[in-house]
Amino acid sequence: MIFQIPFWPIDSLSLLMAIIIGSIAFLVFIYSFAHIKFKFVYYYLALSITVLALFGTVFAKDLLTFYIFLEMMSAGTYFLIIHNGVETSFRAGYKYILCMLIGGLFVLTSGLLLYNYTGTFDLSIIKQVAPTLTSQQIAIFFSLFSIGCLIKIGAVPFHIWLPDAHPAAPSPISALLSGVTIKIGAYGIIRMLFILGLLSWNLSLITVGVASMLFGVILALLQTNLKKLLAYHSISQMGYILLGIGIGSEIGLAGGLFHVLNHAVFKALLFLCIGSIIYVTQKRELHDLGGLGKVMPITFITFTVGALAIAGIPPFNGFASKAMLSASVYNNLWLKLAIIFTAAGTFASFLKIFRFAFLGELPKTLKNIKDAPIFMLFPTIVLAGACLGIGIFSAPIISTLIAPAIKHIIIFDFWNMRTLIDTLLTVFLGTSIYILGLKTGFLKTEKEKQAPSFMNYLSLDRMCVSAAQFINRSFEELNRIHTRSLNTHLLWIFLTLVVLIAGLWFAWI
Amino acid sequence: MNHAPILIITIPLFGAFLTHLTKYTKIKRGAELVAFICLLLSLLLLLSMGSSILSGEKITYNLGGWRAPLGISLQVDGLSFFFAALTLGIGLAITTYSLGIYIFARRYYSLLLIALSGILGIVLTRDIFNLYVFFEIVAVASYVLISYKHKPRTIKASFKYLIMAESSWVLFLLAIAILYGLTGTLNMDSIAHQMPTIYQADPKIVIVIFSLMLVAFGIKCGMFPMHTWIPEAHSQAPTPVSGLLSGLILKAGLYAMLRIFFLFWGATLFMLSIETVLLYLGLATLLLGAGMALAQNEVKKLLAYSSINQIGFILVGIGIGTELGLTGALFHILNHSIIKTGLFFCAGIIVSQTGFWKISQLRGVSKAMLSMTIAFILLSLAVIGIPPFNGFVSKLLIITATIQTQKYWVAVILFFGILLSAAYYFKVIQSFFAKDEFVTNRDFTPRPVGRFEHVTVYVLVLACLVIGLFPDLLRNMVTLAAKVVLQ
Amino acid sequence: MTIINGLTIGIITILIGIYGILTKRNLIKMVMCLYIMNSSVILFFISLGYRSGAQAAIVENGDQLMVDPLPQALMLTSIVIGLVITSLGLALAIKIYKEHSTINTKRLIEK
Repeated sequence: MIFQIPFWPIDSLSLLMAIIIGSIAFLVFIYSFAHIKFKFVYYYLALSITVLALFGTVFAKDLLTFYIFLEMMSAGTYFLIIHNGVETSFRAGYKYILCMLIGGLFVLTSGLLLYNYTGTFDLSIIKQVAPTLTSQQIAIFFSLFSIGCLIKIGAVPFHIWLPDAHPAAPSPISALLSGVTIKIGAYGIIRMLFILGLLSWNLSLITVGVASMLFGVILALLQTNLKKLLAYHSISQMGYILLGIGIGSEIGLAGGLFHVLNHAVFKALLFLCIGSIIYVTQKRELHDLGGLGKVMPITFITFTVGALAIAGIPPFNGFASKAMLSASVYNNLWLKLAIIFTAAGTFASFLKIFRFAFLGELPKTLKNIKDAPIFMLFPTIVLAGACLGIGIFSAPIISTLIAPAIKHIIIFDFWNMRTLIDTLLTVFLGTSIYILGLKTGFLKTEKEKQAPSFMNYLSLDRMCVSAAQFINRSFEELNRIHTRSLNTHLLWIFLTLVVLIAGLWFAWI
Repeated sequence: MNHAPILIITIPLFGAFLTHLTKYTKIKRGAELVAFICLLLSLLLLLSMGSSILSGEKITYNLGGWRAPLGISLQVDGLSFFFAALTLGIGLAITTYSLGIYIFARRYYSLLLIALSGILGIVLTRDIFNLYVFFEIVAVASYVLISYKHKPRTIKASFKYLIMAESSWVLFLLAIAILYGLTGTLNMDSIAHQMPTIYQADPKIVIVIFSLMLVAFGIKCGMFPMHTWIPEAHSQAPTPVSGLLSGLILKAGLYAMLRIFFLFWGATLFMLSIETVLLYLGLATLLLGAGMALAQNEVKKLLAYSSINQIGFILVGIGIGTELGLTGALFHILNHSIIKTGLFFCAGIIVSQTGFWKISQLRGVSKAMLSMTIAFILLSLAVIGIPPFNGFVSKLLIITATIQTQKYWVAVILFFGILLSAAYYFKVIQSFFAKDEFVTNRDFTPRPVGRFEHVTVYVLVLACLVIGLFPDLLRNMVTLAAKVVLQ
Repeated sequence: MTIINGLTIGIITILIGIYGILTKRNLIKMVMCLYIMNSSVILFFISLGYRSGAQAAIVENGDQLMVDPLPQALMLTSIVIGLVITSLGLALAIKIYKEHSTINTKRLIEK
């Protein structure tokens, strides 16, 4: 067994990820100076370990190292999620860490299987010997590895931890979680596709991607909690990335990778803006808010930038990557429809936030609030600038950052009729979904007491939680019936002896 | 002739009697001093043999100059060295920890030294009857140590341990008797030499001997149906004694298994499928320990069941039987000793400071005792197997061994065990951080955490981290021990 | 060699001991049964070294048939250990009676 921890000579893919991690983490640190009010040592220690482990995962040269840093990252993030010390964050953190451990164990198993096949964990050696593996071995390995990564990403159907963990964490941590941490899974899948040379149309990844897109956006439309809404958008945006990876063409892969960068920027921006709102108003439900555009002008502007970027409106960065993704599926009508619908739904749900959080009437309790402190505004301004900058200069960024990472030269024309029609269609459809939703009461702003309905029983989250509760309850029952009688315990000893002798006796015969 | 092997055992034994004599001297903390110096001397003697042992040599010492089949011989080889080093290391930690709690407690230190010298005797002797006697020495010392505080529940736990352990230990004496009747010798090597002929003549008698021994050793190490003494003894014993029980006495049972089963039936092992028995019992132990720990609401009981869980891991590693599996099992023995001793120390401090022992009562304790909470968290991450702590390395080795031997379903159960252990440790961790106002028991006057306790706990945490980051430091010792087992 | 010898009696008494320890609820009786088990194993062990018509292993004048002296020496140790365990067990039983005022295992569970 090897115990040392080797690192890649930095290549472009690692570099791209490292740039994303470094910049978002830096801004998160700055934001935290104003946002975090207690348990400083605890918070910054856990944050540092998490960021360190994030860097470790992208620079890891072998699978074992990747796994080690993945687990460190999960453990660090767990302590960040429970930083608030309230019951909901404990529950979310508990779910998070167990899901992450399951995902990690999938990655570990795949790594150990590969070690069995090839005798090494080293990815550069595996790349050389990959053609000698049988297709069955590769299929088993890659499916285990990608399930592990998909759990880390929070893609449907492994998303159960994500909508709980994001709202429970402190806002800068939500930004880090959504902006960077879940990208590590995508990084792992891209890296492994390159290593194994599997870059082609991958139906299962596309299915997971499309399911995440649609599922995420539909549930996001239904949410009334600001952070939960953004969390579901994370699922749907990660669906885009998986779709791009699954298509496997150069444009699709470049689009997916570009969306990794763009999503990190605009989702971090959105979470930080929402964080400012929560920091100032102490409220996170849509129906408690309203009219914030007047009292929090800078947050309003930066949030607008982020919302336009996530909806794919030019000239912001979301537009560029979504245009590439929709170009890559041009010959497939169903995928095209899914992309358009997701973009429209995203647009509609942000219209909802605008209407009920920033426009409208300011509640009386919030009369004398001011915009967030400078330490919290600065990162959002920087990120908003980045959204605009990446959107405008997308071609040079693709050629300097993305193209080397996938080792292909990408030439893409962002401004043509097709992309413009897409955009207009998105805006039109989104507005109509919004209006239709308001008329039919589909888009709620107030949280209702959910009656146990049939849909509730179909919920994956509920199933997993009930399975876990069942295990817990059955062990509690075991504990209850576990006898405490000394004579019975002695009986067990001698019964074991008898059973052993008898069993081995007959086994021998 | 090098007298080091016998001196390693007798110095602590001698010290045990010397502690009582310190009553008549003017030295202030004579008993502690004697205990500390004796263990240190033993450790130095052991380490002086270290370089030759690690190069693969075996040092044999014949008591009274009588050669092996007639006389009793001690032998230091890789496996013995590993366990002796572990015993003395953890023993020193336990002594250091006790310095702050048991002041002027000559009887306590004397019993501790007797128990430790007994364990050293177990790991060094090559005579099977001698092994029996040393086990009894350890057992008697530990019964008294468990009930050291004469509380109602501790005495009950001690009595339960006594009845269960002795009634099965009689079976070991029976096995020795049968072996002696068949071979006419008590030296392990001679018995092992004659074992193939016995097996060919009558395999059934071998089955009986194996079963008797498995039950006897199983109760010492807390194997599945015989585990029932562990939760009570571990949770009721005084804190350092819990560390001793979980860190060393359980491991002595595992040592006896590793030594005797592999020495006697190494060649015929596969015919009897002894390994499979160990594997299944290990899996049952693992699942039961993990599940029961999940349902506990007392911290020390949870830790006791967690010990059973980890013992299951070790048994699975032994049951796989390849060199990698044994390396993993031995490494996990080492790691678990360090981690669990540390965890019991932490929990002991928290429980004795606050006067609460239920998890629900300890909500929000992190505000009152930050440093102990941090140590507890780090150690529990280590025992779950989260990198970069040491538990990860040994669990990784065991899982790799299962996958290499293509026992995928075993790996799945091991994963389930890891998840359950994460489930119950994170349950404790999150309750420590709860925002509830933590109310200390008013009837109880809190004693400030002594420097000795602090130092011991943090040394153990540091050891976890160092071993986890640089497992290569111990690689020689562990792989050598695994090779000795498989010879 | 008759069927009634030290070995068979040893096995039978060890089974009696096991029966007692499994069924008796009185702690003192359990300790007694433990001692019965211990003694019967000692009897078993010593009988292994027995040869019919042999003398004690004290060498006086050269060649004579001797019993195996090793089991006897070992069992001396074992007897001492058995004594220690029994006395410790009884002491604990007394202590339990003082603390819980019962030595019935069934009642002790509830305490």
